[in-house]
Formats: sequence, structure tokens, C-alpha cells
Amino acid sequence: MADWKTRSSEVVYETKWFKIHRDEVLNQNGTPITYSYLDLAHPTVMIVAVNDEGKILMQQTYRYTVGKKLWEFPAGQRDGQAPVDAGKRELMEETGLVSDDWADLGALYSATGVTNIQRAICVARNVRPGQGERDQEEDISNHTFFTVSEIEAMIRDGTVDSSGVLAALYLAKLHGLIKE
Amino acid sequence: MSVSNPWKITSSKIVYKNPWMRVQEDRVITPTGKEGIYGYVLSNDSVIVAVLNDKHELFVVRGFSYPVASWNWQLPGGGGDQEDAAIAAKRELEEETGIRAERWEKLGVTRVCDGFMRERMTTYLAQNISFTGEKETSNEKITDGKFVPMPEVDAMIERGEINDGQSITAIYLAQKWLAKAGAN
Repeated sequence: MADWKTRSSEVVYETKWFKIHRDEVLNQNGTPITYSYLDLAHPTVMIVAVNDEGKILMQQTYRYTVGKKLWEFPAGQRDGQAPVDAGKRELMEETGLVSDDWADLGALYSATGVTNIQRAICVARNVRPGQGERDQEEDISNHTFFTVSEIEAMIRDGTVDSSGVLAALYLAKLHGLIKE
Repeated sequence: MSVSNPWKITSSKIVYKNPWMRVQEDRVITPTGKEGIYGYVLSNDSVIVAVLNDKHELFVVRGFSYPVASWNWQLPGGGGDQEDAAIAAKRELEEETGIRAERWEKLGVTRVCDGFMRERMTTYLAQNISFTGEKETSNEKITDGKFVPMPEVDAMIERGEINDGQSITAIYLAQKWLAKAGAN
């Protein structure tokens, strides 16, 4: 089956972080379509940080788009780094934690109909407080370790509702890196 | 947890608009007192459907994702046309796959990409299904669909053949529902 073909591409809006493209496209049947999407400059990384008791770190991150703090896993832009290197940097900046046991589980797309945003999922086990540079700019608080079943209860009652968190948790479980 | 918005919005405008998305740009003063702009996408809320047959196999579809520029296995769904989520789910499923279902369960509402988007996705479970024999083909991105047993769905995720966070979220919610239904 043929890939879609781009006939023309226009950037209709741009910030430091992303571009909005409006493209004229032919789909697999040759039907012309106008397609707009968000093009993120850098892929991102999300870290499932597990301590020596098997509990997982969550934090409350202020989300401007939603207007409140959401319970999430640490995450951020990769800034051109490989997933685990970016994961180590983000985990230190956001939580002050380090780990010697990292796994790169591959990348997940966030919303394939609207954007190319791609998030590498990394699991860091036996995390512990370390030495390094914390980032004071970001509005992140309430770092707390939860058991998997506590997080799943928060998903059921809607306290945790970020699709990225659900997908990362599922992936880490499939790879046998976290347990109920 | 703060109750008021720590960001001050000094002005706000729509910088791009089409039937599926608007792009909003706010002039802001950040919590640390810096002036800046915050741009983000306001796309229509979306739906995704976990279709199960009598054997509890999951229906996966293959389609081209233009933003990602690749063919991917996913669950059926899409952007709602600003309609009720339950109606959107039935319409999207029938348009994309020709499947009608008698039994529907709402499994949850999740958020997508919170830094740049506000979109919320509602996951539905659809059972007691029949095929109408018709589906929209000209504009749809779906080219193939098949029922896959759950262990094979998990293997597809592990191999990276299903790598769409929204589909994996819906698979997670469907498996939790199945585990609970099995326990009762």
C-alpha cells in the first residue's frame, strides 16, 4: 500500500518548541486531503523511576494547557540526547534521583492523528538520591513513591488521567520491570 | 496544590484554525515573572474503541499516520466532530471498520500530550458486534483490520508494532475491564 504523498507543505504557526504544518496531501487512494499537524522540534523522554521497594515515583506537574497540576511521571525534552542520557538528566533535574540500572523500552507516539510527538519510555530501577543540578524553574511538587496498585487505583478514580502515564506503566509491566 | 493559575495571561488569540483544530497563543507572565508566549493546540476531543469479539480477541486496524509518516497498527477511533463522545465512538467505528456493536461500556477519559494539547480521549469497549459490510473508503486512512488474541496484542506492543500511546492506553483499560469481568 502506497504511503501518502506530500504535494505542498506550509508552516502556518511556529514557536520555539513546535511548528504547525498545513500540507496538501494525496492519501493511499490518491484522494487529495488538507492535513494540519503539530511538529515538535525534539522528541521527549518519560521515566518510570522505581525504588528498591518496587514503588514508582510520581510527581505533580503544573500543566498550563489544563490549568492545574497533574500526577505524572518525570518527563521532558530530549534536547538531542539518546533516551537514557536524556532520562538521567531529566530525572536529576526534576527529582534529584539517580540510578545505575536503566532500560530503554522504545518510543511511543502520543497522538498519531494530530502530532509527531514521540516519547521514549525509560525505566530506572533502584533509584536513590544523588548529586547533581536540580532545575528550579519548573513547577513540579509532591514527589511521592506509590505501589503499582496505588497508581492503578488513582487511574480508576481519575486522579491519574494522563495517557502517557497509562501507556508507560503498561509497557514497563509487559517488559517485566515493575510488578503488582 | 495551588488553586489559582500561577501564570498570568495578558492577551490571547487564535493564530490558526481549521475544522479539527485551533492553535491558541497566549501572552503570559510566567510564575517566575518572565514575559513570554505560550502556544498550544485545541483539537476536538477524541474517542477510541476497544472492539472485542466473543473470544475476547481485540480488533486492530492498520492505517497511515501522516504526522508520523508511517503505517501503524492501532485501535479504531479519531477526533470527535464536537459531538457527544458515545455518538462519536459509534460513528467512528462504523465509518472506519463497518462494525456495529450492541453492547457499549465507557472505560475512561484520559488526556493527551499535556504540554501542547488539551485534547481528552474517551475510551469505549464495544461487544456483541456485527459487520455491516460497508465502510467509508475514500477519505479514511484505515486499510486493514483483524482480530488478535490479547497475548498477541501484548507481543505486538513489546515488539514495537503497536507504538501509539492512545491505543496502549485503551488496551490497558480494556484488559482491566476483562480482568474484573472475569473475576465476577
